[in-house]
Amino acid sequence: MEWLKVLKEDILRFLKEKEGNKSSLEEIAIESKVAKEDVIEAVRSLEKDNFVNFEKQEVSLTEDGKKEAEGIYEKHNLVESVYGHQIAHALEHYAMKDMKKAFESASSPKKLKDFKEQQIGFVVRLSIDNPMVLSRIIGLGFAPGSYFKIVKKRDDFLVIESHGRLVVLGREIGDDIEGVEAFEDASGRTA
Amino acid sequence: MRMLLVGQPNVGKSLFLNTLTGAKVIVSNYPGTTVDVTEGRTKVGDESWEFVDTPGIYSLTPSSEEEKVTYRIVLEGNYDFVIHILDALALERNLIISLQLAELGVPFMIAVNFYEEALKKGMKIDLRALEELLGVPVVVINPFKKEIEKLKNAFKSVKKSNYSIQYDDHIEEMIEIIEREIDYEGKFSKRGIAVKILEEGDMVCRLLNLNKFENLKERYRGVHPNVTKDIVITRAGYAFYISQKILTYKEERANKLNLLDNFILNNPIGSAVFSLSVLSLIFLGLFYIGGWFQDALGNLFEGYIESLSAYLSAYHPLLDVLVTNAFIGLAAGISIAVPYVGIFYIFLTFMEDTGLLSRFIIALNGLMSRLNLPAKAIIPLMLGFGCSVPAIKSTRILSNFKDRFKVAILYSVVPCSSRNAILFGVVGHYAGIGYLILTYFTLLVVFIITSKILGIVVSKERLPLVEEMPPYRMPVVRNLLVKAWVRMEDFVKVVIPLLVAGGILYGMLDYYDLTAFIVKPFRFLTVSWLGLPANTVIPLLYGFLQKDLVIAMLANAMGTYDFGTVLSKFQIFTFGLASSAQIPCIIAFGMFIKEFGFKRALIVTFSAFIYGMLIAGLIYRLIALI
Repeated sequence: MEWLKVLKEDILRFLKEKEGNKSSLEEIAIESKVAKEDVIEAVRSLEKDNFVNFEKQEVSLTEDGKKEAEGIYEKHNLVESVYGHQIAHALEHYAMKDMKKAFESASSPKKLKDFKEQQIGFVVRLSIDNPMVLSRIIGLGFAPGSYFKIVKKRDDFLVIESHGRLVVLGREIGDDIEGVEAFEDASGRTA
Repeated sequence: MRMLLVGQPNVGKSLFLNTLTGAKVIVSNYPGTTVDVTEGRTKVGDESWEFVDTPGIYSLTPSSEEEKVTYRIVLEGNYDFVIHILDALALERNLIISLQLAELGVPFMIAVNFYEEALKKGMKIDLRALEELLGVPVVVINPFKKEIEKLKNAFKSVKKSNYSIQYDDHIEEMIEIIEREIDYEGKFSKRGIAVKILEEGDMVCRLLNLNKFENLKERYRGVHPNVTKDIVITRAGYAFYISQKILTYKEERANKLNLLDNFILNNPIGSAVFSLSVLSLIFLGLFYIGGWFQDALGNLFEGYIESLSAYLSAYHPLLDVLVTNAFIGLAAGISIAVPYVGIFYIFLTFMEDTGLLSRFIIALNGLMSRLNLPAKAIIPLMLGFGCSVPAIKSTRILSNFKDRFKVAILYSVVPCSSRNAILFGVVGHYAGIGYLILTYFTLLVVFIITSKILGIVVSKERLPLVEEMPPYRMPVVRNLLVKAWVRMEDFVKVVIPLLVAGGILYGMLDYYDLTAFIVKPFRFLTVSWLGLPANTVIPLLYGFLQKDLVIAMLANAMGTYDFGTVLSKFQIFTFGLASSAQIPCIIAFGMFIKEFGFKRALIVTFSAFIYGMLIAGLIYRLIALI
């Protein structure tokens, strides 16, 4: 069940953020915005996985749980650094091909114009303030997380493949879009 | 049942409409814009299906003229539901529109085009999952086929989607406040309206008569300095997330530049060769095909006008002057302007429908940016060679007001077909091809200087080039002709009557001899500054009423059509230059007022006139020196 998996990951992350302190079911229910019954079900399941101890209505992480939570927590922070807070909650639970590796390097993105021809990457940051240009760029498929491939670099513009379509961007925009190098794109195609 | 077709550019909306409704299509300009909106209807059983094809958009966030129109049509709400045509090949960026429709609480369904192509490319799209996720019907369409039953079934289960995007907590807080405070009861969701208010603020409030919430954004500036950006990115994140869930790739063939694209884009020389070939093709087409029509139609009219004039002058000379001049205006409109403008629009539409137009714009980017103009400005500028009036209106495709204004001013040195007729008919015919080429060369140099000056005076800032290169497609001839007609309809219905009116007005002035009194006071301009006979001020000034009458006015003023005997070649050249470098006519002036306001129009028209005369006089002196 998908929601259960999501909730379990959220609980682990929450407990990790509490740095070893115990949490009550109520607290967890408020934080994850779900009913207490659902929290109980998730906690039971986590107990079975040997990730949490559940005693006297209070939940705490086991050693295994700490390790598991660590991974989730890091992933959350990385996704959040790319997408912002809310969408990170939605996205982080879904393992995406090649994403993990890429998210790890998301802390050191480079400008679009610094990519080489034929290189594949994906967008992590847009620093375009003009809303008109921004929504056009996103409408053309350059949303954070989207793969692109530099097809052609010229002094005056870049030709970029995004979602199977060719898009030409003026060189100056090459400064405002940042991405990280990927080793293969969404379809598993390598450069 | 009335349905809106909404989707990104080049997703096959108009083909879908044309296949379903056949010949019963009405194309109209959306009030106050140059953007086409097509409507068509068909009968299915006792039901009438009405489709409105909206301009292609990248999202329902109004940034370009097209997007504003579609956004307005969606918010005006005059329809039962929306059919979102979605390109299976570019799922993620297309889904942004679906999410916006869901957010606004618009009932809709999704029609997926290019599904076969996606399969061939090794993509597997779980459409049932999409249907479940959004809660609206999703069907695969083939816009070449009339799939009535399939659509009929889908129509039954069209509804509002309750898929909801969660924004950052602060944005959610703001949404909540707006939802609480707005006084809105209508067909859209309050939440959707609230998001729109945060996202763009202006248009949605105007369209739905709501109060603005600018101070709210102010209040949250600390935590969310850029709400629009955050909303747009979060939404794109959701689109990405959905496409991750429903799309799996098998393998994909590498997408390489094809031979032509490689040639065009590889280096600036290829770009230059390509853009020059396109430009020359247009000019050769206009010159030969347009010229042929001009001759054929011109001769036809000339015969009629002569016999009409002979017949009328027997009754009353005033009647003769008025009717003959009116007919000359009509003849000019039909025999000169219509062929040139028509051919031009057909060519432009052909370029657009095949996918060549965006490549042309891209190839010209370097050159245009050196002129401080956005690459897209090439379209309205080329239209200027047809007729300045629709060209001034077509500057609307540029989203930046200052860019529009710059281009509109430049029409004073982009000769329209009427001015070209003067140049060819007077300069070319009586002073020879050398002087004709010299005139165009001078205009080109003046054009470059002027755009440089405008770059400093008006603005240097430019929006960066962002242009999709759509795949090459075979144009559908019927679509092409319909589109070209819509574009020139305005011209035929507005400009030609005005040409007739201008002719009548001039006829009246001429008949009551009201033209001669300005000859003397303007001697300083004609005789002293331009070195022309004093009488030439009549065509120079009254040409403003009706540019196509300039040749006739000149003949009238000089007492002969054989200009070679009364003017030196050099004088003919100066006259040609002086009569071309200005805002051409009162109709263009009117359009200028409509688009840019009376004050700007007046200032530009006056200064362009003075500027043109200044240049003509300077060149005259410069060449006299040599």
